[in-house]
Amino acid sequence: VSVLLVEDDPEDAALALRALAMNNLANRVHVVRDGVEALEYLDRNPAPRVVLLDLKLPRVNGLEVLRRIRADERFRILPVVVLSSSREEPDVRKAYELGVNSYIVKPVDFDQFVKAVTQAGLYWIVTNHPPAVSG
Amino acid sequence: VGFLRRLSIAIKLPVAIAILLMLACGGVAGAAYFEVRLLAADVAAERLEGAARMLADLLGPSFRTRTQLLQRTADDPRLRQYFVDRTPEAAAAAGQVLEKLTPANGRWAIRVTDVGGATLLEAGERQDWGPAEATRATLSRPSGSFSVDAGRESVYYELFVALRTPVGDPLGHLIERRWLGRSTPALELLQGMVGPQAELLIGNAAGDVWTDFTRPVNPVPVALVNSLVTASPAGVPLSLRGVAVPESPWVVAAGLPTSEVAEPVRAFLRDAILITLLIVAVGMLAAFWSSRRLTGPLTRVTEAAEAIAAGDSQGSGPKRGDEIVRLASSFEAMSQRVESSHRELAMMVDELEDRVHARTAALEAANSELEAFSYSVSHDLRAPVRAVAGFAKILLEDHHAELSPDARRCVEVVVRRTNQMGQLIDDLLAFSRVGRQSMGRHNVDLTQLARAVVEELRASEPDRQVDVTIESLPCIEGEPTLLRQAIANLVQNALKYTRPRDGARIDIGAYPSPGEHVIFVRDNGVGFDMAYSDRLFGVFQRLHRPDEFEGTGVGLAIVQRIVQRHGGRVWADATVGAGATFYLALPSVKEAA
Repeated sequence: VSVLLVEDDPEDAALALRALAMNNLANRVHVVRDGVEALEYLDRNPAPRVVLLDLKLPRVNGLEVLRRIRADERFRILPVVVLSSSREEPDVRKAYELGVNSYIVKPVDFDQFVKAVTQAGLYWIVTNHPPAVSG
Repeated sequence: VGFLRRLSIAIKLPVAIAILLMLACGGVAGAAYFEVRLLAADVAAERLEGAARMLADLLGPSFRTRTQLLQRTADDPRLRQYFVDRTPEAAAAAGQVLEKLTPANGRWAIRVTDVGGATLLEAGERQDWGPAEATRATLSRPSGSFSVDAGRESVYYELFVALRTPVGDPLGHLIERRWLGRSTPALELLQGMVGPQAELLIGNAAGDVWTDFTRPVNPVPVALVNSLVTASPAGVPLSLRGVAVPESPWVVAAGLPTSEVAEPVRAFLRDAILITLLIVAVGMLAAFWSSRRLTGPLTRVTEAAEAIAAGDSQGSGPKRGDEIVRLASSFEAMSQRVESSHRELAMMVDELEDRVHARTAALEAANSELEAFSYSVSHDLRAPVRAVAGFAKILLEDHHAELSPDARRCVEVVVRRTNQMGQLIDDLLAFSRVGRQSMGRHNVDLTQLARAVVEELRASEPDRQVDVTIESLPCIEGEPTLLRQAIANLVQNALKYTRPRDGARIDIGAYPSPGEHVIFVRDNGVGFDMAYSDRLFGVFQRLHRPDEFEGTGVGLAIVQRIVQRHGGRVWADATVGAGATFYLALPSVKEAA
């Protein structure tokens, strides 16, 4: 698994998967539906290349997930990209303060959405060279 | 004058009263002094005139009887006979006649002269008669005129009568010389009557020779016959009054030392000054006392008023029983009313403030609720809209072949309209963000800000030829991100609406206005109809059709919101087809946002 997609909205998840599939990245994506699941998945599985994290999540929200990821010694340097509908400055600032690697605002326009998700997926899975993650 | 004004009433009043009393007393005393002086002079003049008149009455008859005696002697036949005979016997007989004239007392001499003035016969004290010219000089003066003798030690007078023949031919003169004596009983009596201080004088009416009956004295003015004069016949200043002795060439005068005449006047003056000082002192004390009584309550009223002015409205006036008390009691009533109205006012202010606070809190709550609502609504709307747009797009792309052309057109509309809806939501979120953005207080250099904005926006449309000028803009205090957005929106608008122009031109400038800076963004674009200018800054308000110019109608609403948060104003000026100018007036002294 290269990408952990944390997304509660199944349609948004489907759209993201589709965007990744258009670049043959879909088979390397695992989708979880909320923050608790995301943390459980990370705890039990090898670390993905990147975590695509929505902020508005049931139970444990995205920023809290991010905080716990960074608090865990194993995932301190795990690449995390926020993929959110929010372009609110406090959200952006908080995410960066918690050590996010990138912040992408989900566009409404599908073409733009596809473009954004594709770019992020390609960049983090193909272009970027991450450090070896233990655990 | 300024010094006088600063003095307290407690000092001014007694001083003023003392000055008034002094003026009044001084005036009265001065008038009385002149009156007294005139009176004293009158009294002295009367007394002296009386003395002089008595002297004249004493001397006048003796002058007359002596002249008559001489006249009778001159008619004596024995004297005439001497002129006829000129014998020693005749001389002896004539001499006997002369000897008979010897007076009871005093120095005396008598002689007979011829017409030329030569002495023929003489009797009495031996005298050096001098030359005939001296005799002629004596005869040229009135009979009885005084002369000073050669030794200047004594004064004598000479009476003379003419000697004639029975038919009237002149023969010569009978001339008697007499010395005045102080020791005549009459003179002593008179001296006793007028007092030892008095001086009695006699002299020629011509004024040349004067004597105190013993020796010659300095001549005194003959005006003393009519009035009191001051002169110093013997060294001491005298007030003199004279009387002419009837039928004689004599004037007699009585005098008193001037100091003695003025003595009662001086005494009066002394008393008057003493009384004046006494009155002034008493008046001043009384004025001081009463002004203290007067200003005491005033001082307390003033102090109470000052206390009230300083915020303590418990001040109360003095307690006493006249105009001052009425003033004080009305003052007290006033101060109570002032206090009660202060209280009422304070209560009203408190109540108003409470109301304002309550209203403000309610408004703020409503406002933040509304903003939170609009934020979450628009935020939550994005996901479904994105899903609709996304799946419609998938339908078009993945199931293209399965859709009829009509179905494809329908799905294309769905895609276009959902994208438009997404844009609306984004703009709405941007608008609501302006309200939620925290307000920093930074110095913002608008010139730099405008340059950066223009550069960025030009980069987004690199193919366009737009002439942009940026004048020197002021530095103002505000939130940089918001101000940047406002300028960016205006420049973006200007770029958008100049798109149909070949020579597109945008001017960014500023001018000062009282208390604020006005920044303007002027373009030569399509402009708009000023009739709709009131809708310009409303949310989702558009003056152009979507197929003319893209946009959702939020940009200018955001500009207005930003400017309002900075305590400023925004307005526009435009002509259809000739361009538009947008103005931002921002306070030059920052007010609370």
